[in-house]
Amino acid sequence: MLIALKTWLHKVSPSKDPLEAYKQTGEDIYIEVLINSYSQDLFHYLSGQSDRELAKDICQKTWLTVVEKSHLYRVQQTPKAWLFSIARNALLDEFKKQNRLSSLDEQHYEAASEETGADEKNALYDALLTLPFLQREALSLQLEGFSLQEIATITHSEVETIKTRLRYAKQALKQRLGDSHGE
Amino acid sequence: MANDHDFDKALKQAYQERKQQQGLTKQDLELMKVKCRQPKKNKFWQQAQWAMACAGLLFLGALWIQPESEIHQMYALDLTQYEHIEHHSKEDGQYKVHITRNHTLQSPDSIQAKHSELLAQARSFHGRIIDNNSEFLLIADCKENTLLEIEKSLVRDLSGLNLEGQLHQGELLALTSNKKGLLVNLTTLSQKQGIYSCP
Repeated sequence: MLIALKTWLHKVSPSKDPLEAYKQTGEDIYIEVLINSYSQDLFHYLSGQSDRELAKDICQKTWLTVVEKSHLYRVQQTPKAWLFSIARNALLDEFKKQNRLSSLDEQHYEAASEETGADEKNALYDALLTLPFLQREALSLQLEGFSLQEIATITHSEVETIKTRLRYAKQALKQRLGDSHGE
Repeated sequence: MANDHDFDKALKQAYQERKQQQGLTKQDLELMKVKCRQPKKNKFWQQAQWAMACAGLLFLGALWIQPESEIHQMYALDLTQYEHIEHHSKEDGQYKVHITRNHTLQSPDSIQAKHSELLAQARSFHGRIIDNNSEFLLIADCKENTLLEIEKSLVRDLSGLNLEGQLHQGELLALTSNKKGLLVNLTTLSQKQGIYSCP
């Protein structure tokens, strides 16, 4: 009876945060709002760290994890940061299965070399894809609009470490762009 | 790039442009939504919970408002708990009464004397119906020492009571007997009426 009453009360006053509302009510409408709002960001981040097919799989896996574990969401986090956290963990699990985790820091995006230089306009983004995984990840998350603290939380790192990764990433990009312009 | 600010701006622009160019299709998004839609298994349980909660409340409400007089106690017929059993019957049209004793509860010495003494007392007392079967009405006296087994035909002679509709288990009756131990009056006694003191 109490559960039913609680559910009813939550239905009457759903939260503005769709993830919080989904956690409270389990209504499909909220997961659909979340998918519409964050799937493109999530997919772009994931495809920057892996490839399109794997990114799509991880994206789907992330949403299924949300459905299953929405009760673990806390309003102190932003929904986007929580989603990216889940997605990153799922991606690292997949890398672990593929034995790609050990060389993570040195890992470069395989497809990047194929696409680099394909279009002058996208040279900057292509250069980003050639960065080592952790630098690329920190920079992608910053470009997604996360604060240093949020990036540190998502990647389970210190804020200072994130600052260093971002600095190195930008230095490397400038250097690569300078080199390519010099050639 | 002229400075860090311009570089950041250009990087952000390149990132956003690529996001728009290489995003998920509408079909991809729809597929994700379909996979995330939950089976409506909880609906039934939610409704069941409500139904059970309402039923529980109704039950509690009914118990709360039910008048105390309507709550019937259950009485079990256990002959061993009575010292005496008075048998009131008609033999050849004659009203006869005799007493039997419960052997487990009393010594055999003073039985006869006690029976005579009991029957010789003119009594007004009350008792409660323990059983109302096809042949007899079984009444426990107010002290619950004596069980009166009264033949139905005798009850009809002694009172105008409706034996089938009026006399239920647990019902209180007022009884009067003469100095021969014969019942001379038998009436129902509402719980709201004053109850005779137990002689």
